[in-house]
Amino acid sequence: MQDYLEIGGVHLQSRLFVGTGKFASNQMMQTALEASGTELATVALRRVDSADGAENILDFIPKGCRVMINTSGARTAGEAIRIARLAKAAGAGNWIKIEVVADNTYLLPDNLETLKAVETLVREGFVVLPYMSPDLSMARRMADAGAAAVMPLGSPIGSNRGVKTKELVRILIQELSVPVVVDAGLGKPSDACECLEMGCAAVLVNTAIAIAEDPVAIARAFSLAVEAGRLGYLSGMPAEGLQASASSPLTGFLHQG
Amino acid sequence: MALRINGQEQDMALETATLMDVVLARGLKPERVVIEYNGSVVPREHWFTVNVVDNDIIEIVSFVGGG
Repeated sequence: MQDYLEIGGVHLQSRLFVGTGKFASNQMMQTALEASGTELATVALRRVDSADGAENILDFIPKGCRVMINTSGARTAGEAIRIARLAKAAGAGNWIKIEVVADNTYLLPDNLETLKAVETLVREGFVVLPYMSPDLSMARRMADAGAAAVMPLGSPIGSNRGVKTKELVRILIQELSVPVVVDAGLGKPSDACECLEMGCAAVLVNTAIAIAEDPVAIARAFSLAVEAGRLGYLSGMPAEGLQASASSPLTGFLHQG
Repeated sequence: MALRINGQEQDMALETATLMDVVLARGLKPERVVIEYNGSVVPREHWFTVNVVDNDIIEIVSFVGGG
């Protein structure tokens, strides 16, 4: 069966997107990315003041893995747009994860500023994936503005709490025609599996992989979990019931008259 | 000449300097960084020809790990 995710005209076989922050080393990040089988990795832009370290993180992204720059650090639409333009000028392609955060405690996205950035960057030809709070009206507006996918948070960034926003994410999946990608907060492979089972197009994981004792092992576990969840979703899982429904025949055995 | 680089006031000792001079003076590898000059991205091939002047605002960024 041919099953792929299409975003921005590109076919992705892997439904696991991986972030590159917080790894102990670039080498570890590269090995974990390879183990995850991901075809889409996020990278950030930061001010540089001196020649600290000779390594370029882009050299450690596995071949065949696309790079998507995030706009982390942006507090307004204007800042996100500037970061996107810088990323494009740097040769990082035109895929952009819009992340506009004005709340330092929970790092929750500012949906209104995010929408403004989506509108501008889509017009400029970017493939735009906004990180957002799972609000149906805003998600619709972002999709209507041309977002290639929407990326609602599962729980706060780096919290490893799983998909606490499940009921709202489920509504986005049902109501939107663009892919829904749960981004942020997934802590365990089973969290990723849960997202794919309910119909998410993909998940984006960073912290849970980067700070695990064995990032390579958990990257592989996330890969398997995403595949399992997707297969489960496609299998047409039966509905839940309140009463028992026997799996084995109950009549016509020992006590037969 | 006083420049604002990455949010910090910086004095350049040189009388005239290009964006490339600014990058090299900081020990940065030109191929690793991107420059926003007074609000606009300047392509690397123009760094030799853009002369910075007093009060210019320059952002120098590069790629780092991120989620």
